[in-house]
Amino acid sequence: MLAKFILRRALSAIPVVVGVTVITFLLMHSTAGSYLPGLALNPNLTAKDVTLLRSQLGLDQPLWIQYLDWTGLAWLMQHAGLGWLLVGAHDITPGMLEGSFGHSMVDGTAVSSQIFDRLPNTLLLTVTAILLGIVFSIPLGIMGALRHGSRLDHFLTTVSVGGVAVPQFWLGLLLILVFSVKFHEWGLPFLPSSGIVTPYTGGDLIDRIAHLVMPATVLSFVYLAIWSRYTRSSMVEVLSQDYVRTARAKGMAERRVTYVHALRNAVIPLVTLVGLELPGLVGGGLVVEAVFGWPGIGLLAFQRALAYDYTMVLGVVTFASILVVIGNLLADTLYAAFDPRIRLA
Amino acid sequence: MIGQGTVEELALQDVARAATRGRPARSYWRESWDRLRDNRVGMFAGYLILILALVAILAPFISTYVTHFDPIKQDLDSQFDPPSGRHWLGADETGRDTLTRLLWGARISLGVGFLTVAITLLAGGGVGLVAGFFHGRIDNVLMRIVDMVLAIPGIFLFILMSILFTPSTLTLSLIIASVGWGGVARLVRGEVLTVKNRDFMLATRSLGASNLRLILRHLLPNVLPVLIVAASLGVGAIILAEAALDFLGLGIHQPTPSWGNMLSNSQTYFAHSTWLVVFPGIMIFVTVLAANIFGNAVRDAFDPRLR
Amino acid sequence: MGKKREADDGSNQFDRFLEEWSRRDFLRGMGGALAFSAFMAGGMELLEACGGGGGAQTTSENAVKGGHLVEGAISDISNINPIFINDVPSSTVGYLVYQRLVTVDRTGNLLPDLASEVPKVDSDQITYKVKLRSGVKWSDGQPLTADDVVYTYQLMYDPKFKAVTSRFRSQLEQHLASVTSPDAQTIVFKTTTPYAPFVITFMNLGILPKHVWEKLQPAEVNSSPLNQVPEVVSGAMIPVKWDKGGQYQMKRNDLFYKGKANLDSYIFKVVPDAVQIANQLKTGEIDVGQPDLSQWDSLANVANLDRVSYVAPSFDYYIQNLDPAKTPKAAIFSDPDVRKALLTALDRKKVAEKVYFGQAAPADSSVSGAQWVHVTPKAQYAYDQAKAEKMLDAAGWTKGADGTRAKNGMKMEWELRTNVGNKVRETLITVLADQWKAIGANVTTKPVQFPQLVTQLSQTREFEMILLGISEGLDPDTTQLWSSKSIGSGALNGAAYKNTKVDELLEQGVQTLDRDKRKQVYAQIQQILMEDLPAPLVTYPKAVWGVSKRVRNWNVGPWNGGSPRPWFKDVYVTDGK
Repeated sequence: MLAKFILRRALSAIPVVVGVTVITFLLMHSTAGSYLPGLALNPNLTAKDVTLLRSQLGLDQPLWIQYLDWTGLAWLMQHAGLGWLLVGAHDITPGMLEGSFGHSMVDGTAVSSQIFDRLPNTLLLTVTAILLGIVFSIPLGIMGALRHGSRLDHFLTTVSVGGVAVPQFWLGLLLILVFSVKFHEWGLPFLPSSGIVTPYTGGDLIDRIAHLVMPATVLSFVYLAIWSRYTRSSMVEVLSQDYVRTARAKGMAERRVTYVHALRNAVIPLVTLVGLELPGLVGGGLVVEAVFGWPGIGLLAFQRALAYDYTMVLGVVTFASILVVIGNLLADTLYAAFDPRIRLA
Repeated sequence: MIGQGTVEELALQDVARAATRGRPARSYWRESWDRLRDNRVGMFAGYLILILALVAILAPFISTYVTHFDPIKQDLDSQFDPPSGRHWLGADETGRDTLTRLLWGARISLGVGFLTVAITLLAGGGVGLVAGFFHGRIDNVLMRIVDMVLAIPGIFLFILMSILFTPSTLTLSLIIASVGWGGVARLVRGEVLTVKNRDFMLATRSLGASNLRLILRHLLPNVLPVLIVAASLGVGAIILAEAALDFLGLGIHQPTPSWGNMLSNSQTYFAHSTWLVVFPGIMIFVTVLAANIFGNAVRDAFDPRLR
Repeated sequence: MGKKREADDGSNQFDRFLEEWSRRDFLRGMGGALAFSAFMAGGMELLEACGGGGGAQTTSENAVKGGHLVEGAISDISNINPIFINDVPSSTVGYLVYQRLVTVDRTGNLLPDLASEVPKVDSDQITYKVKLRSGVKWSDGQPLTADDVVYTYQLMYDPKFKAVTSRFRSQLEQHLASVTSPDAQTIVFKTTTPYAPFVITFMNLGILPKHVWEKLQPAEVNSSPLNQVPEVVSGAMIPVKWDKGGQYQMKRNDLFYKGKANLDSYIFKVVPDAVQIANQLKTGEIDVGQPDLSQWDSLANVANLDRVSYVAPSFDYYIQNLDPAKTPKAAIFSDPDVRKALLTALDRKKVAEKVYFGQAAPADSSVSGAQWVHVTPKAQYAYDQAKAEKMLDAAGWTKGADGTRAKNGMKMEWELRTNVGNKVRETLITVLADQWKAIGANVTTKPVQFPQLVTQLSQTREFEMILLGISEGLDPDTTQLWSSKSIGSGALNGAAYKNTKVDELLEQGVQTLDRDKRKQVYAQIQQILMEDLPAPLVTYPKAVWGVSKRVRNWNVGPWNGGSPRPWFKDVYVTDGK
């Protein structure tokens, strides 16, 4: 039964998320030394300042205490009378029990407000890229399959494979150079080179689309390459199936055979392929976000990791992992819904 | 070891099928290899990678005896020299010879590519084999760990680990491998689970074969095709990942050249010194394309559906 | 002063500027001391631009009212609350929002802001009576009084607000004895000892509205959203919206005490990097911004753009670890003749030309040319490779068979580090290493992530040589850099340089309130440092700006770069849009 399957999967996901938090926590703390998050080289900041600030942020407590504090377990322990176990602790906060991921150590902003403000940007980008990928890989796949083995087929394969043979940052910067800088130079209408909207004068749909075009296109190449090949080989296989031959033998128009019957069946694996990409929705666009100044969650984690903003990075990575786990769950469920054998495994 | 005795069982099925089609019986491996060789484009791509690898290995000799430049020696007066008789592919922002740096860059880029693949296959393959073979609790624990690693979006793992380690060929390979091994482990485990319960495995086991023998002599060869495909397709992705890390500032630093850092460094100078961007870009493009084409060719060759 | 200059070709500017600098003491009427508010661009290349001379766009046309201005920058604001401000974007935006008691003009002269005149110290050398300007209102109509001033300082240093993590706390605890308001228009500051930097360091902070902030618990102050988007302000602009990582929008504050700004709106836009800033200046997506040095030439003939450049009060320098307890390489650097030889081996003119694309000058002292205490010490080290080699020979460092020098079994080799992300410095260390290789020192380079580098410099002091940039503050006090008290524990004397005479002079410098006497003290310090060379300065980088032709009165200068910008309300856009 599907429900039981989902429940089992969900339960086994919890230790995974916990494990993720531990791994991230350890990685972040392992090289910081006595660094103060967000510190710019400011000679006004004396040694006493640094020590005081670190203490106020709780960074001088032993690592395991800091972890327990962040999860809220330390607070629970204190209130359950087990506080004496927390040797070296001071200023225990409710941590995750407050319902949020705490506050940034760099600027004091609430981690959850940063995540919820920036996550939609990333989702907009990656979902658009996926849609673009689907929209273009189906016709490419069909064309390749119909002219299977021909020069056109090889050309299309090369194009789709070539699109992912270049580094994303390079492709992005090239597009900016051409469609933004050069187009402006040549007096043509030009695409904006960074951000989500034009400041002050922008904000309408056209403006947003104009900002979305280049980054989403760059990101979609990855999907395009894989999916067009899959669609193509899937179409090839389906077209040689008996039921297709039967349809042809019964006199059905070739067009109908291709687009109605064969295509429908060839697209099924595409569904699972798209499902496979769901987990990657959150972090996958970092390079594109960096090139195009797209204020997404990948860029946030990257910048804050370099600034040793422990709470922010922990919060973002944990949240992203939860999303990945949910994404996997969805993908597995879809798969199981289609294939009864999986449910019983 | 491969292609003899251990896959005879599959070959038997081959024979049966071949008999119905009128083809002579050949082993799975032999047939796949022949199919690969027939794919001219794929083989060309494969040879190209081999040549590049050779060039990378010989880079010190070539730069001493052919180009006569050192990859890190600077010459500020030659800053931004365009391609000329002296600097065949031009000079960069501190006057270093581009061609020489491309040769040495191959060592890093390809080195990271191959080393990462090796580590990923060893680690991922190893874990997948053990998990799939022993099933039960070991499988559970191992796969939980794999899930944890896979749950962290790869890019975050890259960032966190890059801050931890100073970038070098070895550490970069370890970092990139740490992201990829999980997927390989899952893949291999899946294959193992499929193969494990085939008749020939039960038969061999009942004949008294030890676990180690079963894993190495019987399981591994059947799982190998999957690994080979993953390896060939992986090399391209890894070279691109190394370039992305360079762009983010987490990769190999100056003055050591890698194709990735040459490419990302030169973006700033695109307007007046376009060749600085073009040449490393071409190298990456050609290599990754070749790796992908070869990888696809291998997959097609080993794909039982396309027989 | 008001030099009227066209924002023409920057390089011509620079030569003239240099001459004028050495000939005049342009800092007249400087009523106080300045403090180091140094920002090193950690991972981002931010040139804190300040100073005199170069590229003022003053015009006597009639200002056009209305319209918006977009400024591009490579990083987003972090926290614009004046008691927390710690980075350039935050101080740029923060300055427009909160007024302060005093501010400075582009040449570094103190200007009264909320104070009705620049505060002077009483005869006891520790009391400052500040008269507040009357009639100043907050944007919600409430009057700005001495209570607001006192409350702001209490948040920063008073023990009852200990939970507030202001970065000024320990300094104020050390220097500020009391701050009181005998009446609604007067504030009295008492310092613990005579402290010359007091006015420029600590009266240069934005004032918060007490009636808003007293409603918060001390611990809540650290994480209040008002730290990023305040609602009640006193400056020329009022925050409207903050799109995290994208842009910060502000609109005109009609109650601004200096009068309404010309602009309707100002937007601070985050741009991926300095090369993109150059691109967006060209396309017009941003109106003003500081482009990457490498793009300077390409911006020369852009139709809608002017370029502005000037010597900023900043410098790039390398720190030699002189502490043998921390590294055996200290043995190489311990000989002053070796240090002199190493500096002599550097062709800094060529470096300025090639690595900074001409937008820098070789350094000639231990402070930048924009500092009013700058003198050109007798000891100078012009490039002379042959001389450097002779000096090293004389010091006993003989070249081995492999070309590397050695002495007493120790090879002349070390690792030079800088921070990842600053292109110029990453290139610079390879150039320096190359030039030292030419005289027999086998130097390897390694860019390190900024947090680690800072920790290595100021805490563990485990390094051999580090290259850094410092953006100087308004006060010439350099205790944090050169005092023997500033070794380790977060301070910046990473070289572990110990010189009792310098220590004495530094003490004297902060306690001497007379300007001319102060200058003499700091002149002596510069002379000594140029002889000792614990951490020689390499170059004085220039600040470069691209300014759209539709923008007028964008008077950035050496001390008015990111902030403060006392001329901001006069900025206007010619098309009014």
